[in-house]
Amino acid sequence: MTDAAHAGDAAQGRADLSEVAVYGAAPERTALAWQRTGLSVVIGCFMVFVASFRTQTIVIGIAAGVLGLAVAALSVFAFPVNAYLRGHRVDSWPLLVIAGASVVAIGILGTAAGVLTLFR
Amino acid sequence: MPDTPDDQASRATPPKERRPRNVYGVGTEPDPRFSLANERTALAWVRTGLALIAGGIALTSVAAVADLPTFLDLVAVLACILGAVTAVNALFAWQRMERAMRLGEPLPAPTALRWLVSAVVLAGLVLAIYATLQV
Repeated sequence: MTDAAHAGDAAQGRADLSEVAVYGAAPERTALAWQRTGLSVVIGCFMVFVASFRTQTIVIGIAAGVLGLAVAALSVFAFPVNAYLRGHRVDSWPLLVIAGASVVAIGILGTAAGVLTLFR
Repeated sequence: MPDTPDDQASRATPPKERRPRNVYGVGTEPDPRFSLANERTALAWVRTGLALIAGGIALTSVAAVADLPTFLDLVAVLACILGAVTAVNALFAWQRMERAMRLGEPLPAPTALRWLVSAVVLAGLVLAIYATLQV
C-alpha cells in the first residue's frame, strides 16, 4: 500500500488489513486485557454479593449481582475480540467508560456496605 | 470470507464522529500499536482500582465475621473510595495520553501513580501496626 493510500485510509478511520501482521500481538494482548478486565469486574461483583450476606446488606448484594450479570454479558457480546483480531479499528472510549463506570459502581456498593456495617 | 477494506470502512466510525472529540478532534492518527498500548494501560488502571475495592470489601467481610473494631471498616471504606477514584482517573489519563500522542507531544507524567503507591504503602503500614498491636 502506498503512503498516499495509507494516509487516505487513516483519514477515513479505516484500518488496513495488510498491516495486521505488522501490529504483531498487540491486538491480541488488548483483546485479552479487555477480557481480564471483564472477568475482574464480574469477580468483584461476586465478592460484593457474597459480602452482602455477611454484612446483612442484601439490597447491595442484589445490585452487585445484576451489575455482574450485565458486565458478563458485555464481556461476551460487546468487548472487542474479533474486531481486534481482524485488524479493525475499534472505538474503545464508550467501552472504557462502561468499564470505568462499572468499577465506580462496585466502589460505591462496597463503600455503602462498609458504611452500613460501620453504623450498625 | 475475509472483510474487504470497504466492508471495514462501512463499519468504522468517521473520524469527526469519534468520541471523545477533545481527543479525536485534534492531531493525526498515531501508530495503532501505541493506541492499543494506551488502551491496555487504561484497562490496567481500571483493574488496579478494582483490586483496591476488592481489598476493601474483603476487609469489611472479615471485620464483620470476626467482630473486629470499626477502625478496619474505615480503612475498607477508604480503599473502596480510592479504587473508584483510580478507575475514574484511568479514563482521564487515557484521554491525556491519546491526545498527546495525536499531537506528537511528550507523554504526560503518570502523577496518579505517586498517589496510588503512597496510599498503598500507608494502608500497609497502618494494617501492619494494627496487626502488631493485636499480638
